[in-house]
Amino acid sequence: MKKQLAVLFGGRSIEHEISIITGLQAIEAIDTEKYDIIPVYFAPNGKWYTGDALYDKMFYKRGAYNLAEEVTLLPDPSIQGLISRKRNKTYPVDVYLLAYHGQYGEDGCVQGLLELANAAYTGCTPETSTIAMNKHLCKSLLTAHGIPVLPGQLLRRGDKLVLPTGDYPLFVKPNHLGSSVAVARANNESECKKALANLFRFDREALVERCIENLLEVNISVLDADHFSPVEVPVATSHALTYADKYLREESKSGPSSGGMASLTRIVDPPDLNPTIKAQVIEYARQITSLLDCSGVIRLDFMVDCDTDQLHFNELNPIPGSMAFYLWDQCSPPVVYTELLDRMIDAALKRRSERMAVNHDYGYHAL
Amino acid sequence: MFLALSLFFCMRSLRYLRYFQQEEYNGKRFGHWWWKNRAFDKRGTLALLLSPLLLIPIALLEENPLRTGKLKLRLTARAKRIWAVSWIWFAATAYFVPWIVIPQLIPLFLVAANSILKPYEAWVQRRLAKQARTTLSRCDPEVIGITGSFGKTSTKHILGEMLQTTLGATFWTKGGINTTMGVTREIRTRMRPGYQFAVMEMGAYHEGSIDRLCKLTPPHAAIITAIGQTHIDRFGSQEAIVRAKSELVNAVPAGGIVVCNGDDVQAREIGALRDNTLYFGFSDGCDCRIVGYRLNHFTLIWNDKRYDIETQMVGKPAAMNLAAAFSMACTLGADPDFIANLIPALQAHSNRLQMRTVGGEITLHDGYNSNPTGFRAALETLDAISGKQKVLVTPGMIELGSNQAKENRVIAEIASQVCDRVLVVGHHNREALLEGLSDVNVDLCDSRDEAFAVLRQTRQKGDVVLIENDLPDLFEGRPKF
Repeated sequence: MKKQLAVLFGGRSIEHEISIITGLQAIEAIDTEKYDIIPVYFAPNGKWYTGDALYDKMFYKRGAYNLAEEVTLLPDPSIQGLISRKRNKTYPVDVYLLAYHGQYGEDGCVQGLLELANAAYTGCTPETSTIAMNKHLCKSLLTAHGIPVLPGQLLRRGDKLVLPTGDYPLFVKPNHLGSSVAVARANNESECKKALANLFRFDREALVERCIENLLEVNISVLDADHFSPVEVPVATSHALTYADKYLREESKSGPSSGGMASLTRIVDPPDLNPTIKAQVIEYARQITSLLDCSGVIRLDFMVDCDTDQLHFNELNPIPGSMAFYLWDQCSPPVVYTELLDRMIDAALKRRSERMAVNHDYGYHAL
Repeated sequence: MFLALSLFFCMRSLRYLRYFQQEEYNGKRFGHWWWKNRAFDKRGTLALLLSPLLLIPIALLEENPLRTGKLKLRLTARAKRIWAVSWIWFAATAYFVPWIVIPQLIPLFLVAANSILKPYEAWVQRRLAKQARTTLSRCDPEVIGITGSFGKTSTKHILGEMLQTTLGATFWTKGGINTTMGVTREIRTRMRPGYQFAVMEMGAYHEGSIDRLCKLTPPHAAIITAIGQTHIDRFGSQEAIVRAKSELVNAVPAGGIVVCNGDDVQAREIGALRDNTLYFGFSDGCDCRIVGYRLNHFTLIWNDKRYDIETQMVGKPAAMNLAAAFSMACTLGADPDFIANLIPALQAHSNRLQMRTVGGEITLHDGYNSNPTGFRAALETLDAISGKQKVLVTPGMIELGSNQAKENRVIAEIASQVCDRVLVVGHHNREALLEGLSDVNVDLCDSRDEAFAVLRQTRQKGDVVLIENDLPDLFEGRPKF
């Protein structure tokens, strides 16, 4: 019997549209012999919708929500599915495929709700997701375990703009968001203030690091904490990848219905990459995913200071754009997207069972 | 046979409904539109004369108002109600009256349907407004009302971002929503507890409209952006415009913050209603004074301190909007330094003197309901940008009542000083504009589409183009009936 797979995408975050792309791309790749797909769109107004209308791009552009059916997920383990809000109907769901990026969807909020519903869902647990999406917390944790990170200063939004200490040039980035929104290089105090002011439109916390002049970015994807994809070196037009570089390149516009990270210019498994660095990347990836108990497909981003050949951990994406399928494609033997999703789904089901295998009812009787 | 007629009525009435909706369901203005565009039926009547069955192909070939045109038909609940009732009028009339007259009566059915439904619509609106008021008082944000002949929407967005980033969660209405109905809808769908501020744009469509908006969202503070000559034809006179906008200041409680355009004599009249009014502008004596203005940077003098401002929003009107928002934000408690550093990140709201550079080619989009002051400022901005040829694409200004011809002529004279080429769109101000234009290459285009096609073909490298006043297609190539 086919499993009922709900694919969740959208979300109340800046990466909302990227998430739609990841979600629809994944739906196209799912093995429909094994799964019946229920697309679920988390709209900017906070409501969840399902229905065939979700397959039409105009639905999102026009916000024609009256063409879809509003559903919701309740924190009630007995339901095991989504409830229609207008009709008296339940959509049974066996497993949830999460394609969210950014706030609320990738940071543990939705994961928490799914845990309360005792649902099987792909990707990391709430605790791992939350830590991963808070760059400062994540780096603080990893550095305590010997993973090299670039030291950073955390600045919280307040009444006045406070300048960081340190020598310029500095690199300013939001502590919480992914995808390089409001990321900026500051060469002096004036630029720093403007960068911070802009950043505080999107996040309440800013992370300030020193600028690596001669920068090489190296990414790697990890599946279930024990399978490693080839590394990639994403190629940017400017100093470091900006949101525009990642998602708004001309290539992605002319591509087929997909786009996003998959169409960014990249060099996968570059032959001229220093083998020491490559080995370090894989080793750190192993340690990090083990320490943080990562599951599903994640992507780790590292930075190399080419002046010192020093490798630094940069960030962990619990739900990478396009599930980094373009990296797994390049494995030998290649792991095609369909299979990648299959393995994520199996892992999700397995993990749910594992998390259920503890007693929750038995406790100190305080009453 | 009746089916053929019904099919025709179905398609044709929807087309008329689209224009009726654009005229905000005002029978008089719809009638005016009908007359100006000679929108009486020709095809239907011809078909009925020859053979009623011809109505079927004609009906099927009617353009789809849900898809065509710049402002498409939106099937709102109200639109559907009017349409449904118009069917009853149609059926009843078709029973008694010879069919040959029916095609001409279709617009009338819509107007009649609207009239009958008015009491019901009013009741629905009152109920919804009451819900909105309750929601607002539960959430209790500090309400800042913004009115003025132009600059409301831009200032609202700017102020909203400023307050949200520096002081607290801020609610503001999307786009250019500024009517009681629109604001009610926004509040009912988006207002939640937790918002500390609410920036409400208030459109003065006639005397009393701002009063009504103030009853819906009682303001604690106000901004008067400018008093120009926009919409004179709705008000009747300049005095009436001034009176209508002072309703906002009158609604602000004693001691509430009032920020007012200090360059505009009539705005100052309104500001004078209070003794603690703060003024912004270029002139001496403004509390927030703009100095050293150049295309996209200037200095603000506030509380005896100077703040250097860089911005992506070009033009003097943008500088005024920024100064207005800056004044209000700082008076509400924001740190001026924080605000000044935030401004470079803010982008122009779409279509309000927005400079777009595509492949090295610069185009200024000033597409929203032009007025003499804004048009002048846009031309000034066009002048300030360096380029080879300066090109203007415009249908001229509308809704200026009896001054319309004169103002268009005057602006054409000014444009002649700045531009090398002008594309005049449509017929509404053609004569007036041609009268004022001299020493420029003029292209006369019937429609917006034609103008853009010509522009695309003839645009040269280094040309700087200003697209001024992109009117809703109500004013474009005549629709064919």
